[in-house]
Amino acid sequence: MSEVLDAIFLALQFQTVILMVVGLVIGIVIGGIPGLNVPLAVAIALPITFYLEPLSGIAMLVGIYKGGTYGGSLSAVLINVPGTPAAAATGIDGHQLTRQGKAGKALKMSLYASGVGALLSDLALIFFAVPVAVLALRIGPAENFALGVFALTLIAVLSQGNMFKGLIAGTMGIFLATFGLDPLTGASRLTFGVSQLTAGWSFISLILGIFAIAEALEFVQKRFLGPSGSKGVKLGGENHRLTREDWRGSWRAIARSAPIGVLIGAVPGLGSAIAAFFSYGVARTMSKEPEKFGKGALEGVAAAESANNGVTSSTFIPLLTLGIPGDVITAIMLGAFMVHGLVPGPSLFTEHRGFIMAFFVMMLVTTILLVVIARLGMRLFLQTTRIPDSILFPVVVVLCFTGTYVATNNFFDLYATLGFGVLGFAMKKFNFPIAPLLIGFILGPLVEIALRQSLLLSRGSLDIFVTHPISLLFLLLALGTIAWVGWGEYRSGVARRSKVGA
Amino acid sequence: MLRAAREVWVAAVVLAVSLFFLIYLVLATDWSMAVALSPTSMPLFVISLAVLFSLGQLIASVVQARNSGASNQTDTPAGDDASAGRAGPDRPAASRGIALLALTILYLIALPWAGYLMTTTLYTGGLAGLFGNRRPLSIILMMILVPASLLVFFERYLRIWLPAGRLFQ
Repeated sequence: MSEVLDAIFLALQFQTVILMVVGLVIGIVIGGIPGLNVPLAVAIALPITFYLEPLSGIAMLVGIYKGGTYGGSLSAVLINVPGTPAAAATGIDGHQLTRQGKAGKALKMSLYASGVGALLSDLALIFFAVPVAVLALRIGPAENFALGVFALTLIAVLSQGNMFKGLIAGTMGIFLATFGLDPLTGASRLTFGVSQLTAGWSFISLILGIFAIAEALEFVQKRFLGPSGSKGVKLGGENHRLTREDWRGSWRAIARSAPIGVLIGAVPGLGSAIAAFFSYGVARTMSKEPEKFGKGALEGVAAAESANNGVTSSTFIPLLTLGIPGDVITAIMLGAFMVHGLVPGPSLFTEHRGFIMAFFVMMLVTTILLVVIARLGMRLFLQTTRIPDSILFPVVVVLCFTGTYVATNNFFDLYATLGFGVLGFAMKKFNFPIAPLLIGFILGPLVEIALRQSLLLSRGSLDIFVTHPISLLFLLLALGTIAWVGWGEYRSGVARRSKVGA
Repeated sequence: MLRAAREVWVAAVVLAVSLFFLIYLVLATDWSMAVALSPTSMPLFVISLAVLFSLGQLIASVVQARNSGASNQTDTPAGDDASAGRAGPDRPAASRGIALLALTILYLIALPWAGYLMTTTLYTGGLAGLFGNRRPLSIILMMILVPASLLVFFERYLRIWLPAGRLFQ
């Protein structure tokens, strides 16, 4: 009992709560601005958190994540330009409601559905993380290696349409992580005589370059559209109020979609966009009035938003218990944990028990604060959709280079940030997914250590990976995933060719 | 057709880069060492996979290019491809991207010499122009507020020093 009280006290410290609020506000604002995205905001805030207490720093990042996931719906509902990919599903019916003069209804339902989804996700994290961690304690280096390979394969092949491009991006990420000192022997490798490369590529340079600089390079090439914004929106009046009928029509959709979001969030590589669209589809199929979907169904908004936000905490289950980030944002968070000496995995639950409990409380508090702050500041947050990009992007670019310097105190890493920006831009241009590269970069050292420890234990024999049942299972799952997705891509290619030929 | 050809080129470039690193690592590896102890075994394994996957991507994109070429010959009038080729890349857009890169390189070169405040002020102004801000007052305000607030935040509150500039030391 005293442990729980300590956790509550730790999570409710003044600095932590303030940073949660700051994170939530930044997240909602960034999420609401089309063109800027949540990973970018988390990446920019990352260097600042290095100088904060672990829980406070992570609370700020969690605030940005949760706030941004909700904030994406603001611009989707108002101007039909989703701030995040997942919010596109919210915009289908949300914007129709705005056109019917019911923007307030859509925005309020979006907020409350987000709150329910996020709350259920928090509870899933609290109740399932510990049992999963207990199971994970039984696994050794061979299983760790196989699990890393499976997670990476899943993320690589599911993250975008082209399987080979996903796999190339994943291997590229692991390869970049091998530059610098060998983690077992300390010998230097792939440094090409550059002393700054001895420590390897900087994580912060990679993150900021690949997200923010790449985004800026992409944006500067687009035609200038001027302020993206909407005209002032009024939220008062009967049309904007949620009625009992509105709730009666939407609660089933929320009750179905939030668990879907939670489940999808717990599987690495799927993410909130899939959760939102899948739940939207389920809600439409099971609705009593499916014909209303696409024409302003409040149910559609509720389903998409509750699933979208249902992902936010359950995605931490594989991260905290197995050290496997489920998406780009948790990959950045993994970096934040590690910088503070907290290595995600089963040992985190035994060695930093107090931190984990405080983290759970902090997740719950962030969700409650999200609903309160977003409701109180709704009118104000709506103004963010009117900020011109010509002001935002220069600030973002300057923040990136300042953030890199602050985190690394090294001019070489500033050039690395620019280089990774060009790489990220090229990857986007040629449709290579970014997530596998980033997750490969983060999981690379863990996979390498697990592989080499296994080989040392087995005296160089690869049999260790097939004689351990869990390891064999994960490797078979990885192969199965590649075969399944590869076959699907091959079949769709054949179908396309026969359609063209007909 | 053009897109398919572009995909082939991209796959070929990725394969060439992967092969370069593979050859470099094969030459750099001490083959007498045990696999588990050799520092190059992991990069070698990973880059071999990258070669394999990029080869797969190259084959897939060549097949796709052939199919789209065949369907173009049978289905589309000859003029279509030519008109697609004429459209080409958006030159002003590409030049804005190059200008952003050039401006950033200049900033990074000047930063250790002229210091954070001066270079970031000028860089912010340049960026604002490049991103389409045409209001002088707004640009001047950004040039003052952005670097100054970051300098105060990091140096005053977090006690992290930003480059002062060798010219002023």
